[in-house]
Amino acid sequence: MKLSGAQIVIECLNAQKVETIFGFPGGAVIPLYDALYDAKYPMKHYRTCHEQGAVHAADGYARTTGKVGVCIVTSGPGATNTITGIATAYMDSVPLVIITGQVGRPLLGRDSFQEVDITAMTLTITKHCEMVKTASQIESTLMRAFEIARSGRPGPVLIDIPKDIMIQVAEYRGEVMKPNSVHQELDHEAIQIAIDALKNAKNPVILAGGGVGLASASNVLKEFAARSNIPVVNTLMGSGAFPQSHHLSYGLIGMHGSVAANSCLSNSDVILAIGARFSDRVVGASEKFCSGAKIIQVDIDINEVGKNKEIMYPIVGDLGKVLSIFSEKLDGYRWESRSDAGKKCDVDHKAKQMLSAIRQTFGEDAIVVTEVGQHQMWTAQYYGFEKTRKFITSGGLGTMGFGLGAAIGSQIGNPEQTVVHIAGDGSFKMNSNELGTVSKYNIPIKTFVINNNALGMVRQWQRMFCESRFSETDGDDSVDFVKLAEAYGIAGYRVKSQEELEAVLKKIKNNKSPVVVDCIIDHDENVYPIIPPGKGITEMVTAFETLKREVSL
Amino acid sequence: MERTLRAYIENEPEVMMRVTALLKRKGYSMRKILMEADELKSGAWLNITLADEGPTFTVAMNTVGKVVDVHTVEEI
Repeated sequence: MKLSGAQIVIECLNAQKVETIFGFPGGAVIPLYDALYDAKYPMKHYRTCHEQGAVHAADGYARTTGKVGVCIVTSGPGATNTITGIATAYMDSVPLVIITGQVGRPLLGRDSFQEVDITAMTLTITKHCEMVKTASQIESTLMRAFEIARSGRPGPVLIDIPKDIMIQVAEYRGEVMKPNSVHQELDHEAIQIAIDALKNAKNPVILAGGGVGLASASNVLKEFAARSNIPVVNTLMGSGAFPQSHHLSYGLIGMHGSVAANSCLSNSDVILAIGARFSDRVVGASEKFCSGAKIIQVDIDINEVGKNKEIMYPIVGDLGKVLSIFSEKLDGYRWESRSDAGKKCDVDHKAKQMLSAIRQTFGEDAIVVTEVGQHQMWTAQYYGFEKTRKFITSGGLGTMGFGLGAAIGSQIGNPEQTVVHIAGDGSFKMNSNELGTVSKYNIPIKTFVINNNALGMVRQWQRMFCESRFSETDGDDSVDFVKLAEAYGIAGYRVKSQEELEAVLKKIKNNKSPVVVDCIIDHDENVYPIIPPGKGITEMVTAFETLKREVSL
Repeated sequence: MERTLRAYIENEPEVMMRVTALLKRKGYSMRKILMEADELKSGAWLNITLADEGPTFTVAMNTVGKVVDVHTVEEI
């Protein structure tokens, strides 16, 4: 069947069963949007207010549904506006296909209007990127893009299509691409050696990372941990990989991890790390990190194994399959229960109480999307995640402004579920323009701005490590978030106390419309525990103190 | 000491750019880079000589091997 390049793009999206596209039109994608005009149900395009919001929305959609997120933007600034979103998805292994328009081939390389070399710019933040050179290549390139994005360790793929190619006519073959059948052989000998090491452990621990959710290995993990009675700690991205209410869960580890979790990890002699990469926020000072423990690291990506920490027992392969072998071969092995000391959290402050009330109102099945900063850490510490794909956050890149776009995508991908967006005032200001998208499509996101009128996390560091020299981190009360919400036709509330919040929560609980709640807290409410830079995970600081600048911040 | 890896890749400059950018980001010092189209011009040979600094040579081979349009990697 002969079709224009633009029509072929739409046919490919249909073939991939794409129902949701996020994007923003522009000159170089006019032919593509013209073809999209004829797209039939269930394919639907959502126009965000800014291209960054579109990529974050596609990202949130992908993280919560497990499908590939799709985004269409124009050339030049349209393409460059996606870069932060692409890098965010790349760092957290999220499958996306980003289609960028490009100037026509005769104009390439001439500094033409809205021309940038977007494939060169995104080389190191995509799993793959390429420019299509003829209309006849569009079908195979796009179909392959989806396969690359979702296979193995997922990631974003960018396909750049020059405008003249979108108009060019080519044959659409409608070929069905077989899923990548490359089978990764497991190294059974390496697995057996690791299992033997675990058998000899006195105090083993499981470290669950974000890979558990990506590999849908949460149930196998749950079964293995329960059967062997091995405690589980989780990284930020591993929140929900193991139910945090389970008696074997010790919670979040790392820079803002709990005392119980960090102690449990550092008192272990064998660490079984599943889909975790030992990032600097987890490890602290690398040389001090669990120096007496033997580490087994299981990951789908060979490049992650031993990247940040020397590993005695590396295993490359599908996490679910490897865990099943562990479970089978350790049948009958059951370790002594570990102490519960330190598990009960005595910390209490307004933000914690507010999060607790939000959790109580919306329950464990709500999808919780955060921005980046103190509110993100409080959410990870106190919300209590029981399942994967429920805590959506920018863990790797730490992108302020991620949350609202991601919440939009999460809600569109999961219309029956409640989506709670927890933001800080600093992050929310970055991409609050997406309230326009929320309003336009009446997306019933519940946004809670934990408002301390400061860039709280950086301010906390300045308070602790820079002798309270608050350089550019105190706010100026310049934005009235209630009026901002109302300007977009969204209900806005301001709460200053727990009672006021509970009254608002009661009112909005079953509301099918979006809402913004401005929750006022004090700017000196900080995130504890904290591991100061250069310190090991046992050197936690649990309350405010002024510390010397011993190392570079 | 220097070691050289040889990869068979798609004959596109983007592939070489991606490979070298990844190695650079991981802290390798590249002493020599040579890309030549093969006789059929469908693919190309990319030889990269690395100084004995940064992460190990095996990590470099694994890193290059994971790039989508890299078909084979070996040490020469």
